Amino acid sequence: MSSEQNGLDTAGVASVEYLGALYNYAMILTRNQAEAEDLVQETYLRAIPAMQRLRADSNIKSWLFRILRNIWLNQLRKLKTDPQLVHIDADGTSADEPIDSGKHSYDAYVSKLEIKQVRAAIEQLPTEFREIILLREFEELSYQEIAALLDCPAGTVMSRLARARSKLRVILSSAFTGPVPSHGQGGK
Amino acid sequence: MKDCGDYSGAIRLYLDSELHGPRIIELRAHLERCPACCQVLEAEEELSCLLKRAKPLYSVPDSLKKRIQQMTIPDLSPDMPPNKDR
Repeated sequence: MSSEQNGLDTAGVASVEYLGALYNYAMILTRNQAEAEDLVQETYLRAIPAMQRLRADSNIKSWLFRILRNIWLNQLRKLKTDPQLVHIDADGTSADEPIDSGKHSYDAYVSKLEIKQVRAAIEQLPTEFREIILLREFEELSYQEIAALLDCPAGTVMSRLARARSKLRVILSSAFTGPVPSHGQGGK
Repeated sequence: MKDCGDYSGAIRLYLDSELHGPRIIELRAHLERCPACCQVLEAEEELSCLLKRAKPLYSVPDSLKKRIQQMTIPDLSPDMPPNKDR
């Protein structure tokens, strides 16, 4: 088997393993489904030819994240658009709800509500906070990996993460103190 | 002597698996005798658990999955012959 074929095989595995992570990262950065899809596709277009040159011990996920982020930054520079001003596409959250269908309906309802509130809370954060929450809480990158990706000191990662969590906690606290239906109430 | 304020950052590092060696032992010893810091730990854990339950935030659209698969696994392309060593 040729090295080119090996590279394509690696790419194939990576596509299955990291596509979800890359799409979520793209959605967090762009908040727009069409832009996120384009960003992910462009990431793979650039990554595939380079994959065969990766070392076996390379951190493929971080590498793909870096490519995606660089493309996004370049697009922003070209558009001269402030990331804070990117429009929120309400339909961007219209993807299938990741609900366990085997759960009791009430639990499923609460789960669904929670997920919506978490998504809404994250959407309210500034881009740099959304990004760091995703990288740490969802993708579980280490502080060092995040620092390398964002090209900043690990201390900045720690302080930004602390501020992002603090802000998220405030938003979620106010979301969850709203009229959340309790068990046995509200009809059926 | 350290007070609770000194440990708040360490709690987060601990939960993020970024605290190592003797600092873990020191934090655990403090947690054993400090209910306030235990509450901070629980609140931080709760936030992380809530976020993890919301994962994934977005599902990959099927159309994108197909496009990427066709780009990365050429054998899946309808124009290509079945997998074989070339």
